[in-house]
Amino acid sequence: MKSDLKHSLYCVALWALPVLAWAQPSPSSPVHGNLIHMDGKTASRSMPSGAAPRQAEPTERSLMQWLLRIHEASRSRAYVGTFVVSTADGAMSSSRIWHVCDGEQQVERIDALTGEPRSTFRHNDRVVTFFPGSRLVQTERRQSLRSFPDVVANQDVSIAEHYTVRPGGTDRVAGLETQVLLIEPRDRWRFGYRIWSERQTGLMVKMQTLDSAAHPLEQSAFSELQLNASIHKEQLLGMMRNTQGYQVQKHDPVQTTAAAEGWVLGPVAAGFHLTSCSRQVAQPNQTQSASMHGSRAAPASVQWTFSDGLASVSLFVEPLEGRQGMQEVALSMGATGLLSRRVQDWWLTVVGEVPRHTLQVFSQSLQRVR
Amino acid sequence: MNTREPHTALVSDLMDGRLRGADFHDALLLVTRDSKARSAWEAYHLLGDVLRTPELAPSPTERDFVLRLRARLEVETALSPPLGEAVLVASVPPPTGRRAGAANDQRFSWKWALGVVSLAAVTLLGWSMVERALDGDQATQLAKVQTPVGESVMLRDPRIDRLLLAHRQSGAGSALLMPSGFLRNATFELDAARVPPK
Repeated sequence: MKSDLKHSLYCVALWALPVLAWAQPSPSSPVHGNLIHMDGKTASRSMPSGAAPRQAEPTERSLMQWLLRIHEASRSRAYVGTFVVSTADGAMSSSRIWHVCDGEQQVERIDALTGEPRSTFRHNDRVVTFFPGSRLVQTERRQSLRSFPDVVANQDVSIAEHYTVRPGGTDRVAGLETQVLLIEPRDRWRFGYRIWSERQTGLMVKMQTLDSAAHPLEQSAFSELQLNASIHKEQLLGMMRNTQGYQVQKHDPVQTTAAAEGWVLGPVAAGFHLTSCSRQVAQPNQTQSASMHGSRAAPASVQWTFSDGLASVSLFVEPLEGRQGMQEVALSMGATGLLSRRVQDWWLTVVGEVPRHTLQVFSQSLQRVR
Repeated sequence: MNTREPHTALVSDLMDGRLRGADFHDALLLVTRDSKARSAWEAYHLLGDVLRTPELAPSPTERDFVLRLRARLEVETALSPPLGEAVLVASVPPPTGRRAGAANDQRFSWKWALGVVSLAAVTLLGWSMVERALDGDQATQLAKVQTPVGESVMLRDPRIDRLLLAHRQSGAGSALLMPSGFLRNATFELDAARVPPK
């Protein structure tokens, strides 16, 4: 009798466990806007990375959760490494990276190891670039370097409307165990991405931009990375402030509108929204070498920037003056494509990390009104 | 002892240019009169061509074509001089004042036929690759400038460089900007990415 009771209880337990597990609410939920629920808690900007009592399993996270995790990882630790950018046609560039953060202060130094020597310093949204060859320093403030949650909150559309994410296995990069993510576009107007996120911290250590056949067009990766490196923020800031012996150029584009510049902006590719419209102020008295790094566009040129949350596109118009001999241009370098064509007395150029047909839509979107 | 071994060894020596004078003449006669030796001769040529040119990997249709062509050539009586000797064995001076007749012509025609087939295969493959490269749905793999007449030229336009730099440094609110996007934009060297037209 006792053994029969035991046997019955055992069978009941075997049935009960799966039923109880099935009845648990799913931890994942669709995400819209900037409110994210992870295991019933709202993710905050000050959430310490790696300190959550239980982190969602890789398969459970949504795209926004992944992006936030990746973003927070770089804001909360110091690291030093070598970063390599390579394209499908064999071009390769590399740089040495120092990154340190102190609460809300982030400081970064990037020394180019290939091409023209240059050192880029970043302190939050302020960027200073030294060109030792031409003894030139460019300084600017970039709106685009705001905190990611601010970026998400200000977007008109959700990234999840145009991309999906799914786990792509695990891999080892620069000696670190990573989780691979596949970010796939929902339509043909944008590229996909493959991201390698370090298992413990979420730091992005490698990224590929993929074409419609999922072939890498371009890859950015740390070939060597030392996490939790001991770097002194003040030392980097001191280097950033030391412009002695350099000619300082400030880039302060003036915010403007299409209407003020005499243009009408029509429909652009689906999912892309306008993020800024600015006019570059002309830089007088520039040397030959400085002019290359100096004014980013010719005097009185206008730049519109667009984004769908992951990809970005820039639209430039410049006056034709003295450039009648120019020919229409179409080129690509890695994931970046460029189209340039004449519109009446102007040259219109589209640049972006998007497919060619998306660039073509943008190039047709401007109309001159006066 | 395998009766095929002497044939294949002789044909191999002939292919390698190790034969001189009477040995060379005897080997040529063997190849022209003995079907097994001729088969070995053809196989060596085909192997060499396939190893050197991937497009010549034989397909059933190509093999059928070759067999039909061979049968046709055997029927014909060729009268052209033995030009093939200088082509096949470059290190051996061709026998002077000798016409090898129909056998030499077959050899010469063989090379001609294989050359035509390989040229056609390479042309077809190259054309399909060019068509894929010009497909507008795929991003181009080469950094090249398309002029209105379709020629590719090396790009050295400072204006284009400035605009590329301006785009890279704008970021435009991409979620991937930090950290990877910013690092990528600061690292990516415009000149390194510039690929000369091929």
